[in-house]
Amino acid sequence: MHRIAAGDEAAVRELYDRFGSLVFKVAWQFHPTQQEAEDAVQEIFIRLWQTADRFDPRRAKLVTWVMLITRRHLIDRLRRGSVRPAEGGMEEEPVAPGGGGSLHGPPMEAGDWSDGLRRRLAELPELQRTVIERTYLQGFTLREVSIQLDAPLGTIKSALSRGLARLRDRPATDWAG
Amino acid sequence: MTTPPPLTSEQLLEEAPLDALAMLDDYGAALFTRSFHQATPALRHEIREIQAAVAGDTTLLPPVEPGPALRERTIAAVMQRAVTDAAPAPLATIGPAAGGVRMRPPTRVQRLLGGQMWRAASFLLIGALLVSLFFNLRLLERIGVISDAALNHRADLRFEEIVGRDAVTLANDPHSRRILLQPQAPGVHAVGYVLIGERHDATSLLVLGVPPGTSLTITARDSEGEILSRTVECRSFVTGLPLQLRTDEAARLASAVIEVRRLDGTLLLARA
Repeated sequence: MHRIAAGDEAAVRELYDRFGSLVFKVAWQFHPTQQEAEDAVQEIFIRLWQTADRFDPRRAKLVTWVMLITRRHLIDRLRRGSVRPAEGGMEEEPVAPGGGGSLHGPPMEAGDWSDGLRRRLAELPELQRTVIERTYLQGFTLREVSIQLDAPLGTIKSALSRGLARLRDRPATDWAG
Repeated sequence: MTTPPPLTSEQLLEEAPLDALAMLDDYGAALFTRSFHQATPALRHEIREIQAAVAGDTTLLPPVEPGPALRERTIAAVMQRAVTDAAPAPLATIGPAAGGVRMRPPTRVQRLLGGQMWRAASFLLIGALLVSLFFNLRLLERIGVISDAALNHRADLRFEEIVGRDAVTLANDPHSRRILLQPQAPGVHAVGYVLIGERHDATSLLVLGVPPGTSLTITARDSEGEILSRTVECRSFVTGLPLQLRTDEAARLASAVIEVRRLDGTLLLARA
């Protein structure tokens, strides 16, 4: 990260090669259109370069730092636009990236993933489902959701932790049905 | 405002994924970070592992991949920003354009007006600075005069405090009579004056050069007998002592023998 902070192009390439795909997936989750997701990725990498000197490997691993910056930027971006993806963009069919061809990477279509995630969420208790939708997928903070649902902050935290753990218990490939 | 207690181990473990996913608000994130730094090394290690696993987990993410062109565009954007931020911003771009906002190029009229407005603003600014400088210099000059006067006044007050008001008044009065007292022993470098002011009805002794802590006795006598005998302790190298004589006694000083001795009887000063 020191090399990135110093503007070393090779280091920026390495960072992109390692995290570009992950950042794009998260950006797509927040902005399920090709152009917006790609714009967001560029902004996030600029932000990573700007904040690289603050990375402390004793506090967190690099992937944690990158994802933290990514999600914070995306949440800020949503708030600036005052638009939140309805249920994490699952309402609209994702557009294939790369200019309209088929999706790269996994064989599963994004629409299938979206349907699978929706089904999986539906299996969760109502509170866990609502909290996940509003925090993980729509970018609200726990405190905001606590106020929205008129529930104690501790309850919201627990519901989110348990809900995420339950979702992760089942592999993504199962969700396609 | 009291500092909240750090999170317990259980709370840290529960909130670790939420912190990694930026779901805590600023307050919660700060509390988590503070608690993390206070945790045991083993717990910190566990939290780092949990957070890395959560952050790198793609099971909840859509199975999409970026197009190959995005890589080069992203790297180019970062490098361009690095170059832009490293270069000093010219004065003309300070303002809305400085944030990288794309602006339509100005028309010729806009450029002309813009240039003239900048010039006019610059002249106005320089003029205002010159006027401000002039008044500041005047102000500094007056402050200097006032400061000098204040210092002089303070020095006068301090001198008066040391030697007494009578001695200062008589020393400043050109009509007062001064009787010089000269050193009477080798190694004595002091000098004294008996100041007699008929207009002020005051008489005072002023001694210069006697070390602080020395006690002195001044005596004066004439053919009729002793006129005065006073003792004073020198508090500094300048000492004043009001003699508080009646008018007739002060008049007798004109022909009196005046001596200043140490308490042990050593003669220091006497009338010349």
